[in-house]
Amino acid sequence: MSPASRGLGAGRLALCLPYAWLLVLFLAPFAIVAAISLGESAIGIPPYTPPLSFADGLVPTFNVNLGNYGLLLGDSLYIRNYLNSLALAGGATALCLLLGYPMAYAIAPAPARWRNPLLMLIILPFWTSFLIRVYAWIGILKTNGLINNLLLASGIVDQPLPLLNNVFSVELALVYSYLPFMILPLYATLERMDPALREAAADLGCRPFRVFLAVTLPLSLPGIAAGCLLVFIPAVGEFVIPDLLGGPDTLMIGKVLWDEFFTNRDPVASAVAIAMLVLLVAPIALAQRALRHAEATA
Amino acid sequence: MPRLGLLAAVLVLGYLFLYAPIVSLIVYSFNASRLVTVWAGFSTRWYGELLDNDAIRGAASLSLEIAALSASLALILGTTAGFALAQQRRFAGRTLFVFMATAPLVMPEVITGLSLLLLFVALEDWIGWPAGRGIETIVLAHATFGMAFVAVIVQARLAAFDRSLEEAALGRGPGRCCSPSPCRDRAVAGHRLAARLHLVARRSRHRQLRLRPGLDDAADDHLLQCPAGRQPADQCPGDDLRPRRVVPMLVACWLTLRRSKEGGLVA
Repeated sequence: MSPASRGLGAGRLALCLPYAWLLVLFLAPFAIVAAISLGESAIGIPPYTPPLSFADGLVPTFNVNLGNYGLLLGDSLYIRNYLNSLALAGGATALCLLLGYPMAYAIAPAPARWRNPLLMLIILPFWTSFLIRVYAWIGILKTNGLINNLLLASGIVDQPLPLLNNVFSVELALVYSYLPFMILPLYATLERMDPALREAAADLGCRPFRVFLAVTLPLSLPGIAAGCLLVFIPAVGEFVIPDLLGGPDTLMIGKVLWDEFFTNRDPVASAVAIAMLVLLVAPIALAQRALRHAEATA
Repeated sequence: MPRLGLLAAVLVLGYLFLYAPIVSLIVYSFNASRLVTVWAGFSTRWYGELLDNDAIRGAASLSLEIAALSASLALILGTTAGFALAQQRRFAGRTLFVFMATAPLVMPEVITGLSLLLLFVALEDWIGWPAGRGIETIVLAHATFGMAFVAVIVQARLAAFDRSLEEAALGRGPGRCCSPSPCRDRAVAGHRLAARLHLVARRSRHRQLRLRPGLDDAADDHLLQCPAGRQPADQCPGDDLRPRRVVPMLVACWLTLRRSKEGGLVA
């Protein structure tokens, strides 16, 4: 047996561990969620009747109930919240791109001794707890918070601005939380780009802005795709930000899921989760491809 | 290229945005007042209270304990998964494995957290374990999320160098060549491999990968003498490794971001 194939055999064996782990702790939970979403809400513990039971010995009794999905489709509240989440996440993604692209673009050509500190500064905020940083925004945005106090003291406004518990605060916190996920993949592709291409375009008479549109932007598309998906997908499911900084008009589906679950409506919560998953499967698959692509080019 | 001044302004603005809440937190942590936004003079009172608060100290040490346990577990699982992703091109259910191993990177945590919670509830119902939610369920959940991040880093690192290097290391030995010309070719190839591996090892600090330190210093130096500034990748063979540092960074910050949120759901 050649050394290489021996290594492969051992690798196969070692593969079983993570594979089994993921099957039990990643896939099985989704199967359970799917099963519960087909159950019926009930009062008791557990707060649902299972869709499949073995009450009469070994003969399975099916009690499949599609009512939870009917509820999702029938109640405009859920559909509105799904659309709301998509819109808020989409807005946050666009804003992240608008702010993140110039930042990545500015960091990428910096001298090496500047580049690493600049990147570190992007990542450093994440060494502080996410919850604490979101709470900090409450202190800044609330009616007698930092910004309003400053604006009132300087006489720019004479009424405190409504900055908290609305679309503005939620978008702000979403952009704040997910901005580095946009910057880092963008940086990776921009830094990789051969400067000779841009120089060649300039030598051939392209004006700077045209160089950017014709060369830089198309070449950084893998980074844009990866960054947008890395921001969009988790932002759709966000529940902490709408919970802490949101108001009645910023209900997001993650928050709805959270609330359904804690009012003991497991089947409805599960149906919400499955519906969200179905919505996100295509973006997740795309993200995996984009990540692989960005990795392959990086 | 947009004007440099404008770019610098956006950069400064971006950093201000990222740091404003943190700076305000730090400043107000020295506030004498109980109210968050009313400044009543400098005081270290709250830090004293922090040290006196047994509940907070206990929570902090528990956090460290859970972090260490889940990181260790995630490291073992993620490394094996990363090796499988990078090196095993064909096995039954590979597509499923790839999906499961990387999906936690992007899956909204409220879904993964909720489904794990429902699994633990169901398991308790069937086999009586785990009895309620506690340290072990948090550790299991974090290890599951964390292994995806380890797997991606390990995979990226492994993809950074050629599989043949490993095979070369396994089968390497002097005097195996049979004819002069392939021998020289092989020697050159081997030398390039070794130099490059040396470079990989130096850059990734995987010292154990170094085959023979100082194998050929001239070639080595040539490879290592890449100017610190930007260089097209073809001028500097090791240069293509540099951007890979971004992936671990990305992953590390993501992990810290998500960690704080998942605790609440699984606990």
